[in-house]
Amino acid sequence: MTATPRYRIGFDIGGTFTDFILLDAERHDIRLHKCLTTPADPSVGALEGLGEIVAAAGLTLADIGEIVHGTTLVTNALIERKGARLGLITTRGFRDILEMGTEQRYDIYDLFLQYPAPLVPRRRRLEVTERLDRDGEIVTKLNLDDVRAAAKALVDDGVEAIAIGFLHAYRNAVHERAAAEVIRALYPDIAVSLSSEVVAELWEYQRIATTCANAFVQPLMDRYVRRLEHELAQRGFAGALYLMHSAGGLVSPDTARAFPIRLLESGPAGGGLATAFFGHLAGKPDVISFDMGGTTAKACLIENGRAAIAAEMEAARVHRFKKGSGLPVKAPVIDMIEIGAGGGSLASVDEVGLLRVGPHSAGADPGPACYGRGGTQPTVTDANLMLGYYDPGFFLGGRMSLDLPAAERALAGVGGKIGLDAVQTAWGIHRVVTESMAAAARIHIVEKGRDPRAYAMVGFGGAGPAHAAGVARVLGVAELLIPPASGAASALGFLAAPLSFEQVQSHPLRLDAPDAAARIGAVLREVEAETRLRITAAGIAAADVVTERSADMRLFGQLHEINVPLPDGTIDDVAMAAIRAEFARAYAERYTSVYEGVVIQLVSVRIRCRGPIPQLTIAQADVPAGGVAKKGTRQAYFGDGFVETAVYDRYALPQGVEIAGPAIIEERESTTIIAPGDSMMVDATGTMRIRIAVAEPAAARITPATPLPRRGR
Amino acid sequence: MIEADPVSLEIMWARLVTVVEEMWHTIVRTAFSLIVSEAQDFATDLLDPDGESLAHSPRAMPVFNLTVPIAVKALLKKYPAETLKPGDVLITNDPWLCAGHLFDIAVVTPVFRDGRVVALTATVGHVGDIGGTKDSLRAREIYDEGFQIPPMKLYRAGEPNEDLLTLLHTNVRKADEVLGDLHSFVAANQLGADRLLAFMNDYGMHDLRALAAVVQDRSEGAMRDAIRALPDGVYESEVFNNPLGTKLRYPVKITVADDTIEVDFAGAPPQQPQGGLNCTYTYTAAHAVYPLKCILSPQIRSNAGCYRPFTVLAPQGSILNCDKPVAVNLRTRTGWYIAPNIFRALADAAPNQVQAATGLPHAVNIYGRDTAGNVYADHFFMGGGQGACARTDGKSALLYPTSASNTSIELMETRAPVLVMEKNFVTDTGGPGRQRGGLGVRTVLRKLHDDGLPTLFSIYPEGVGIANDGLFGGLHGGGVYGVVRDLDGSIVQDVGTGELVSLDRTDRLVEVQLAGGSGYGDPGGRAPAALADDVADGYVSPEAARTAYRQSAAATLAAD
Repeated sequence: MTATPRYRIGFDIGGTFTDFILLDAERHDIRLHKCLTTPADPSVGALEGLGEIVAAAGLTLADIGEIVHGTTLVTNALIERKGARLGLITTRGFRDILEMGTEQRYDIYDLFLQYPAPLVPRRRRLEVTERLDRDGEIVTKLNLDDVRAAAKALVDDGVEAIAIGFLHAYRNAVHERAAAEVIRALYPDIAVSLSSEVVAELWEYQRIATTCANAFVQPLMDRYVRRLEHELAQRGFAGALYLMHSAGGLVSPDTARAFPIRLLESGPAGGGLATAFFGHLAGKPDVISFDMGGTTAKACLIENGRAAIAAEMEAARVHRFKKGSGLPVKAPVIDMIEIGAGGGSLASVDEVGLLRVGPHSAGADPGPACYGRGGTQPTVTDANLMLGYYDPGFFLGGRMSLDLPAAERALAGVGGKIGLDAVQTAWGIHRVVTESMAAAARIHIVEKGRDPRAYAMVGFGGAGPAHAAGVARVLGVAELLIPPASGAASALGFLAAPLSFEQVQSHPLRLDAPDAAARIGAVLREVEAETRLRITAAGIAAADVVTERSADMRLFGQLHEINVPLPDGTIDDVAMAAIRAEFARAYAERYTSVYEGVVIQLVSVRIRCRGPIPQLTIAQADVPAGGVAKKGTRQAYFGDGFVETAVYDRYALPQGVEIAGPAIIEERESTTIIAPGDSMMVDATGTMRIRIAVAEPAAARITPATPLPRRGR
Repeated sequence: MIEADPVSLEIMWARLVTVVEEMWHTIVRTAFSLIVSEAQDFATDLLDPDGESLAHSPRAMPVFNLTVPIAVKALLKKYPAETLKPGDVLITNDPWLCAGHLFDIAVVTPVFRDGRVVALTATVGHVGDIGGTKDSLRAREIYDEGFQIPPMKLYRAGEPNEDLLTLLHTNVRKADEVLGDLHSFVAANQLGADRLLAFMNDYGMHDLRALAAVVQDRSEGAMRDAIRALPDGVYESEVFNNPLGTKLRYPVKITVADDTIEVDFAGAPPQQPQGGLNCTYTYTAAHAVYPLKCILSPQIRSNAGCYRPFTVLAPQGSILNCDKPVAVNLRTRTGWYIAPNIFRALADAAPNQVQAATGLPHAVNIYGRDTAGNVYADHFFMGGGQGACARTDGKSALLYPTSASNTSIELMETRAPVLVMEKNFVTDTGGPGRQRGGLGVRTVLRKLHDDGLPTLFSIYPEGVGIANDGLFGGLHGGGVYGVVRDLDGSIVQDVGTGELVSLDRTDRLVEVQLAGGSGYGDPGGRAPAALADDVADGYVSPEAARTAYRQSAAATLAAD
């Protein structure tokens, strides 16, 4: 990867489709391809699709210099519990930590809360004698006989992988390393994950749970990558294979095998990178992504061309929208949050007589009522159809037709309970979904101390372009970008990713300690050396490695940190002053001013090393033929009744064209709705740039004079 | 008008909840004490100008969101809304007006629009220390229990009340931490106020009264509908506790009449002269209506309307409606028995909506000074086993009826010089039943350093000598105790129902075991495959499978 090859392919295996992008760096264009995912063995469809896209370009896989891949393998394995038979070896006295979790009820009124079962059942959680204290000092020496006995018992029980998680191992890995060495020597075929390597951070439950998740998917990832490499080689591919990790960078197959949990959110990470890239093309370094698909909508904040990285996420939630109902995973991940429903989310009337949308989804079967597969409950897609946003005869580019009367029946059925007709219900669903997504996105944005009005929005995903303008309006966002090729945004994003890796090391210290600067410098050097090795080992020249340093810091005595960038170079008094000032700035931005007399504490340092960022384009080599742009008109509903609305074929819209709303722009994978008052222009990259009219401030509907309605008792 | 628009109402109601949720997050991220930031022993609330609740944070200490309206009304009585100024912040920790003991401080911020108070944002949080004795079971009066803050102003028009802050700082241990937490509450309230005003701007609202009336009425209507679904009747039950080594009996009589419920604690024991076991009426009422909400309308967003159909009666001067100035600090040891009593009473009326008794939680308070003279004082939270219900087993280790989170062992150890030696489930402590209770937990701690300095451990295991039978034939969960052992495992001290243990050497181990949850249904009816799994995982011993569950096959099955 020192010299970027001419041909690169990104491919993303999703739930329904596998998307491919072939980039020709010399001609500076891309080619898109989609094929159906083959769920039984996704590599079958992927290899077939790879063959098809190179053939369409008149190439063979031997011509391809680099293949970048993202996969839902890890996510699915956790959700479906299809990982390795796993054992855990932990400090004596603590084998149940994994099952206790936080012991917190995530919904205070639900007496019957369900929690995800631990990845390791109690019978395979074994204890060994050892103990470190908070400073990493040995209190009780590791008993290696215990380790041998535990490993033997687990292997006899048929485990394929073993997680090792000892208390305070983030501070001193000596016992975990010694245990791993013994196990690897005895059982070289068993995958071993160490908590001190997977995530060297304080908080035993989250660290050990993450280590177990890593071990759980290790054998799976190993087999998968091995087979993929083998099959690609068979087909003549001689270039480099990389995998996308959750934080928006690439790793070598070796690193993916060692830390598969880092790949948990590789698809969405690609989407985040694509958003940043689309924003960059439009000259907008600060954008909000809005990605709405069949079951969920996601949002991500891009600042100065980069997505924020979160240190922790929750996987495999029992309740999709309830924090605390999933497995904690401490691994760097693009900070993308689920903000709500998707096209398939069901509408209903709740106990207090209000219209609710989601969290239940119709899924693919029976799907929305309008799919005509027996669904009788209305979904967001049914509402959009009823409102005239979708053409019943041109869904998915005509591959599917929709049953409008079925949608109308379903809508009228729910609406009837609260006195609304089918159209009012449809408009209600559209508004509730739009508002709730905007509300969730707003929380995410303001939590970071940001004002959404300063951002542009990038909308994509199957249902995204139909809802993005509404969400943008509620957030006060003035410009919405609907990029071309948005149907394969994640695959495109993979090609924008540099090789990168991040490591964290907890090392709590007060900034007012006399040796603080020296100690920070020493930890940084140590972690940086390890992290750089991951990049140079993958073929990046040492001179091309870029290092970013940051620290998780807090006021001394607090329990939660904020991440603050650290200056480059030697940590001296000047650097320490800069660190303090940067913390104070970041803290004030999010919460409140740092008041006098408090001490700042550094808890963990983070090192992110990356290689060069590849060049990318969205000029399409195989853009569908032009033709007539305006396809006709149809009636569409925008709150004040149905209006005659022009319908356009996106592929036929020339650059520079301007269209005033109301208008509907159709393409194969999605439909863009431009409301009255909004207007759209196609820019030189083929991106539709939509100017969002300012929302009318809602009438002063509720004043002291408004009569108080009372229910009869 | 708004009542006729269920779509707008849903949207606006959801926005109110996001305001309190943001306040909640602000506190988690900025507070200083383990008990607030990690265990999350606090709640945030949004109230209308009359002090009625509009919305509370989805994660909230249940008692707090029910007592905060009472505290706010008391504050407004002393400082009527029209006398308040922008920048004012009100405060109290009066147990009779707030959450029942002095640790729980209410901080309340009026929200102004067009020069009028349109709402109040409020936080109630359990600070790490409030002064007074560490030996709460010996306390006789509120004066023994710490620093009292009657309804006062914490800020006057934006200026901190330095006199109050100075007094507070002087009267509590780890004062910087306590004041840091208060600072965090004030910041969260202010953030909530800002967000609320932005919301009102977006909707062109000058006032929240109409919206408040509608959301409260909607919740009330849904609650009344749910009550009507219960068969009318009088339902009775009783439970016992044993906080001072003598069993106390708590009868309860629940009258369901059409769309109302009356909970009557007539016959409750008299208030106790010592031990801080007494509940103020506000605390009792909160613990009485909270389980009813869980049974009847768990999905409905909570606000004042939900609770209008309920009446709670408790005899004046009883342990459930105590008089000032009796001691109240350990009132959870009484109040936490109210929910299982109500579940038991209503079991026949709503068998699928109730839960067998849960093993009660404990927070070991660890306190001392290290060799450098620095004070450490933190709460180590842990839960017992959850009670089973009609459909599912109880979870092993769950904090209930609080909404707190447990304390990370590693984090605890970085803050206090102790070593946790064990924290694990205990086999056979889950109450047998067709659905099994969750397992109880044993925790063992010692001092880290042999420095000869005393470390205080407050060990008050709840439920010693009490066996809460399960429901419909389910049995009680196992064994609660607290002891101090030497390295050979011999018991040096049995703390009985509670002692403040002082250790100055590392060869003494404090050991606390919390109860498992009670079972639901006849243990003989437990699915053999589930029981075989229980045995294989060591939740149930082979002997117990044979005796308590009367299923020897399952024990054998697991051995295969």
